[in-house]
Amino acid sequence: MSPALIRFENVTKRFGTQVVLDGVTLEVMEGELLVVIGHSGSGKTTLLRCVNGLVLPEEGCVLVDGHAVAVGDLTALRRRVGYVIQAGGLFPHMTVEQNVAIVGRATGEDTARRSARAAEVLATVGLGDLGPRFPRELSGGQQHRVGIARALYADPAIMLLDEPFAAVDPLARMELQDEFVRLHRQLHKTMLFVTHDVDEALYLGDRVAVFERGRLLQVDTPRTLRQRPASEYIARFLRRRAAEGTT
Amino acid sequence: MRSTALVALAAMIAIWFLYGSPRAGAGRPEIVIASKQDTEGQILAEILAQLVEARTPYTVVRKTNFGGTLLVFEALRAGAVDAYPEYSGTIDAAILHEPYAFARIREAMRRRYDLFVSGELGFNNTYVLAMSAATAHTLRVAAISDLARHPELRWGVTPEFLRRSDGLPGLERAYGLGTVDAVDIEKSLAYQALARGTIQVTDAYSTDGELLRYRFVTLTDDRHFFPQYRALFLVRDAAMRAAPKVRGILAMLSGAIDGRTMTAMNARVDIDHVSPADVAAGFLMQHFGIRRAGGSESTTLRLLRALGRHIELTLVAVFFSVLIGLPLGILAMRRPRARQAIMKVVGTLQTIPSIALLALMIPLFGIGVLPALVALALYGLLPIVANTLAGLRQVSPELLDAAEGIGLSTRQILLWVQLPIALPFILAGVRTSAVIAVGTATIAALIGAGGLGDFILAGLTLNDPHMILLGAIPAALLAIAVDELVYRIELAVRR
Repeated sequence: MSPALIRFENVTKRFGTQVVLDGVTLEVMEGELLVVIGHSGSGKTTLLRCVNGLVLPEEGCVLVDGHAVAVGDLTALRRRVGYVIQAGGLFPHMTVEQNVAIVGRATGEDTARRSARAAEVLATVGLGDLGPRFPRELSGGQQHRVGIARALYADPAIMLLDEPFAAVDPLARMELQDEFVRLHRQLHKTMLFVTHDVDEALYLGDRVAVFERGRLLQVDTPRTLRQRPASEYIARFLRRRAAEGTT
Repeated sequence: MRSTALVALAAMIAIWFLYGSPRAGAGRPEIVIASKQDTEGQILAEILAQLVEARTPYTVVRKTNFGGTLLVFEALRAGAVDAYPEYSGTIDAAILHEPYAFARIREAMRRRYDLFVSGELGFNNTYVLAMSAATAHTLRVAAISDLARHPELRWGVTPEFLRRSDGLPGLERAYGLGTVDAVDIEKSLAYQALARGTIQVTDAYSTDGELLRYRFVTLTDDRHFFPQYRALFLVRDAAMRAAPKVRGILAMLSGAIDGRTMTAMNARVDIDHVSPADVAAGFLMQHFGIRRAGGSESTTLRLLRALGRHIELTLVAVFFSVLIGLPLGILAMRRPRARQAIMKVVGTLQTIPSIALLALMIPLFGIGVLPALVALALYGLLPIVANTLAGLRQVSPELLDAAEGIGLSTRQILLWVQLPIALPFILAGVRTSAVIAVGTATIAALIGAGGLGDFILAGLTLNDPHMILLGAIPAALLAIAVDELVYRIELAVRR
């Protein structure tokens, strides 16, 4: 198996008295698409935010490409890690191209280069000609793709996606998921993908990690999870959510 | 529509450049002649100004709207004013606090303040008590001591007279009047009340032109209680040295104006609405055969100058409001602990009446444009700070999370995300602040900063609605133009 690009070693995080992550140990392999699933409050988003240092754990340690995530060089780290959040998180006052190329602007690339690279990544997500538009002129699905294009801009080895498709209607979401799978195969990036949608998790993930109240209950391939859930809780969780369909 | 805004902006800047800050004349000494807001002061200042213009090569700058003795005296000491008409009694009571003796005043003012005291102009404008002719006749009152027999009379006096030791309190003691039935009342209202019979006695100045209009009688000060208010000019010694010919001019005016002449001139202004400049010119023609120099500025030019100065005050003040307010707003957003203190301070500044704020600036910054600018800039802070804070706070947490997660530095987040998104809010604050500045700048004339307030204040003093409108209408138009201009910019960035 390929080496781990992200390692969580016994990570614990509290917000006040509430334990959000409770001794989590987990590895994400190079090129893998690992989906983290759980109810809201399970700690899945906090786990993801530990990777780019938006959250720093009290105990344990997070290693990205062998280096511990620590205070100090966080900005540089974040520019090497793609970050996509719900609804895209696009800046409303910037054009699509300016949104996509903002990391280039932050690192001081010249405009010509930024423009060329933005066109490249926009083409990758199938939005080649939308560069001059403003986010509000785009459909929900298009905005999400711009969010992904922005994360791809610096060609990061790692991408973090926090419920990127949660706010889209079911039809558009399926389309985005299909495209995302295609993109993952094409780019072969290491991805940590957070969702609360069981179907999405089982459909997209190379492996799926199930979280509950800050604890990692089980991490396995979708197939293993379905066939040999580690507990009755997980079995029920998968069944119920799958039966309800997408919510 | 945007071109209209640009034209308006270009026009404002052009007027500012052409007429805003006066440029020094080509090496010629410049004499700044000032006065308080009263009619008599303005006429006397004009007489001196026109005489200097006619008989010397010096350039004269007029600042004839100072809000009070202390303001204009401070301006004189600070060198912002070179000369202004004053009264011996005021010098005693308000400045030196010593009884009057001309030679001693002259010596004391020179020693203490480096000021030259001109010879007396020839009249005594002291307090008098006035009554309607009918009442005085019926009650047989001719002198102040006669009033002791009539405690039933109602007095309406100016607030100053009510409190000053050389006013009512001293008068009551000197004449054994007991405590008279007195209310304080604004001067022009007092005359109307006296004419209507609502009050029976009021204080007046002996050379007040209004006394002629109403044909009031004045009571003899038979115990010589009221101090002498002999008119004279106070001049900075330094100005006398720089412009030595002024000494001769002052000598020409010494003893040249008697009480009757002064009263008549005051009446010409207050009752016939002739401008102080024209009345002064008439006096100089009659007494010295001096025809007014052609160089006197036309009203249009003066108005443009005032407008230019007004625009200058507004734009510079708003610029500094933004320069201070924007960082304060950002600080308030970032430091919740500092927020309360900041909002409290700028909020309190806003509650200080503008005229009081102007007065507070004088000990710190003296007189003229600088203190006015500081006061205006402080006054305009609240809308900018509050709107900056509100604008920054409405940037959604998701966007900030995205910006941070993408790897933008704190500075980049502020400059590229927060400020641009807050910009329409901030501009709305600038707009409010600018309109406040246009309005408040009219009061800045009180401390010699000039601007359209000069016309408004002069109009109020001279009871001349035409002159008030001459200042008020451009001020209102300027406020509308500024409002519209910033609004256009706001729309443009909002798109």
